[in-house]
Amino acid sequence: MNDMITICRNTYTRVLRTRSLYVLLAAVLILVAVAHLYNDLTAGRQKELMYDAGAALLTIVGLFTALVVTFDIARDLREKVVMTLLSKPLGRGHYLLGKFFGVVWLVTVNMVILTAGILWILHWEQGAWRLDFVKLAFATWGAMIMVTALGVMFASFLSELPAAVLTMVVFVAGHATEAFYRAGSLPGHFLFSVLPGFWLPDYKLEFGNGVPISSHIIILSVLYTLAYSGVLLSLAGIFFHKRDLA
Amino acid sequence: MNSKTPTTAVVFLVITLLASAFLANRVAELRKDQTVRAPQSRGILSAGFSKFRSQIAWMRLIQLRGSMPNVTKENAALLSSKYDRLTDLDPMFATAYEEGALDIGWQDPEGSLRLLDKAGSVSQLRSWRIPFTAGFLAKTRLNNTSRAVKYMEIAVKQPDSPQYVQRFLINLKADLLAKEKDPVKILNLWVDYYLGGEGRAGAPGAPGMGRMGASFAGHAGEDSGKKLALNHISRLSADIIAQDQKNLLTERDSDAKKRFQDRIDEVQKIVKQVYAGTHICQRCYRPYNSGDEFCVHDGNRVEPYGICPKDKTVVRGAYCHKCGTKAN
Amino acid sequence: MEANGSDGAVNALETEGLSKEYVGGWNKRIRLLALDALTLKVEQGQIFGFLGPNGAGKSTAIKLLLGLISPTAGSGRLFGVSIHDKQARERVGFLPEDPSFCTYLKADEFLELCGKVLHMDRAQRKQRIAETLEMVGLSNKAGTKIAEFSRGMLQRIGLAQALLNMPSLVLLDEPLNGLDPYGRKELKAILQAQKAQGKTVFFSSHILSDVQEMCDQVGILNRGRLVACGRLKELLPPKTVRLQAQTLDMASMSRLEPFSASITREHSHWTIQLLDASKKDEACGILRSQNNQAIEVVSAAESLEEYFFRKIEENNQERGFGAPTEPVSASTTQQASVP
Repeated sequence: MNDMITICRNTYTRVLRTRSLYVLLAAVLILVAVAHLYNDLTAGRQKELMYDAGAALLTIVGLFTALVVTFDIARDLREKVVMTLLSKPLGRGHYLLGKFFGVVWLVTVNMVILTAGILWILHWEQGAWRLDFVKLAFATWGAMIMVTALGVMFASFLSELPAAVLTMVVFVAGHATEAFYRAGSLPGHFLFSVLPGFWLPDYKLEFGNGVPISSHIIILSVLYTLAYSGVLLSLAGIFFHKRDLA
Repeated sequence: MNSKTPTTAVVFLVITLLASAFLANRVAELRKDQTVRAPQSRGILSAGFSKFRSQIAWMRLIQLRGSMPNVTKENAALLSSKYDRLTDLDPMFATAYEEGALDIGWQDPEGSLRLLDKAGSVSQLRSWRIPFTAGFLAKTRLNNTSRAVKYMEIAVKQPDSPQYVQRFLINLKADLLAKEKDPVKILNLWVDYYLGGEGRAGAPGAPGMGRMGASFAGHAGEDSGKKLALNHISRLSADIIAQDQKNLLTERDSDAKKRFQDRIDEVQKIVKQVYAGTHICQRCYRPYNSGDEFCVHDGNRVEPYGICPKDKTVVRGAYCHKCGTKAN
Repeated sequence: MEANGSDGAVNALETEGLSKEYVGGWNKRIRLLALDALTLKVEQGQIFGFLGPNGAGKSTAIKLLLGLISPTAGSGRLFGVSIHDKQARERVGFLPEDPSFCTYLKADEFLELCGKVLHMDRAQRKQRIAETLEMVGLSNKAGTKIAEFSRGMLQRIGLAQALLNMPSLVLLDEPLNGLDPYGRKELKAILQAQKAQGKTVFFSSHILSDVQEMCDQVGILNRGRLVACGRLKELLPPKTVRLQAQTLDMASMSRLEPFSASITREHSHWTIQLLDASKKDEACGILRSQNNQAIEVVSAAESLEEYFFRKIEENNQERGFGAPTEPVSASTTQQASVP
């Protein structure tokens, strides 16, 4: 456990020292705020634009942050940090979990900062606290945990670029597994059950249109992302265990 | 490193896979009732960004529309596809349905109704404006009253639909009933409206309809809406009674005569119900003011009321303001 | 397998038939035998030099010992614990070849991270970080980011992390790479000090003179196979003397025989290989008594370098290879494949 915390803290510290991260956070908040000026361009729908832009940019920042893990593991391999650490009594599983939790920690911090910022901007624009945005952010956070786990899995046997590209591809394709569910057939149902369903924790369309979504379904969605992250991390553990760190 | 597969990871994999499959099915089941999915959604591969993409598409569409001096048959098809795509991305984009339908409605009314029908298939989209717009277009552009009635009936059931939607519906129904040549049914439509509606004041106006829509629906607030209904009731009652009285004079068949008389009685009963406690002209069935000796609408002599029996002053209240005598 | 060394203590490192074959290609037809049945024992308290040309399999062997890669066949133990067990690495320090480490960390932060992974407590970490930085000559660079380090400094910080927990066995992959002569001298002193403390040092290197100077034992690896292994004293015989003369009669030959290892006729001259270099003057006297015009005295002690090249060439000839650095491909050479 202590080993995992050590790697987790080290990963968090490493990414925290990346200045581009702060620029990204500031840029997102500015982008959301400038939607206020889009009255003419949107024909009076700037409030809706602000909410939707906030939700979309929150996801984008989450994605970028989660993808850090693929580059981080690859960099550790390239710089032989992995060899140095794993030549010590540190388990490969602990190393991977440490990386995962380090990035999840960062994703969480980033998303909390952004959610607070966007909430404040929405309040400034609309004169009311859009607390449904917190629910949306919570569900998005769950999806980003799954992306992080996906990144760890791909990074456990691929180099950084293919790992990052595949993570993105699966993230996009994971929104289409709804088609398998709709198909209703047994193979379709099986595929829907085993493939990552990124559409399940996605409620941007609903919240953006003011459709009320119960907290119960949000919590279940996040629980799903946690369970599926477990699947991905198990696979990552198996792949990384078999990998030659040459 | 060990070439053997770690047992712990395999056990954890099986447990989490089962848990995630269960949760996925549970969430998908719950989502069916709560979330938005259009029947033919092309936004499925937008990776969750379809809503934001729809906003971008909306802004681009506004720019495109601004570059077009007017909508022609040629560019109507282009606009139609753009609105279609936009509403695929966000099936709940009510503004896009309404504005799009009105935008292309003049050149491509069927296309605009298809767009509005698409909106109707989204169960969560509970906007009165969309079926109202559809009804308006069906009536004005296709002259299809029965289709317009269907849309309007949906519109009046939506929350926050203003009173003029109902009046629009009555007008449409009246158009249909006119063919049946039964003016009492039309009268009853207006009476039901006048007596039934508690009034939904403060409802917004019909979007994008301009003068045409306003005049068709009788664009007015609650009070003027009631006045409008009363006008209809009076006019229809007067017309029916005048016609039936004429028929009574010319008709020889006793059964037919009885039918005319029954209808006159029925209409008079309706009028009494509507104008209970009000003095009305017996020819045009419109109310008149205290002190009036002739109807201001048709010049018919009426029985004056509200006159001081002592000094014949038209009183303003129950008692004469000059001598204090109780008025008639 | 014999678990203990000659004095009864557990061997610091031992392998038996340790092999690694890399398999590639979509149909797994590309095979590369990086290590072929390595059997090796290193006793505690020794400095062991692991030699071989590029691609010989030295780094592969070290990575196998540390569990960084999985063996295709064979087994290995560190202090009697299987290399598959995490515990085997508890008493080991490792310096990888050409490391760059956590460039975003400062030197002391990196050592702090290593200390935590080594389960050292706070006080221990603080003390050892200061000591190792002092040992490798980086005390004044404790607060400098590793990204700013030169190659030599990276080797030093790498050595510091390898020695942080005072390991009983230090595995160093090309530790002399990138070090200037001063650095090499310091490193050699550090390794000698480790040996003096009873620690075992196992390192690979190309710099044969340094290896000869420092090591008790060496192993020479060629194309995945161990071609020679043993104590330097045993592998490199003491200095020998050869005499060459134009003529040699039977009487002189019989006088020379008692202190000669061999007497052979080569083309136009005789070569007398002496058993003992101290008999050189006596032998020369015998030869001069025959009026030999030119007696050539060849004094020779085989260096590690000469021995290394000889063994590699012999092995290459034996296995039918050409250039020593050419990698062994099992798809083209049956001889090198794992049975």
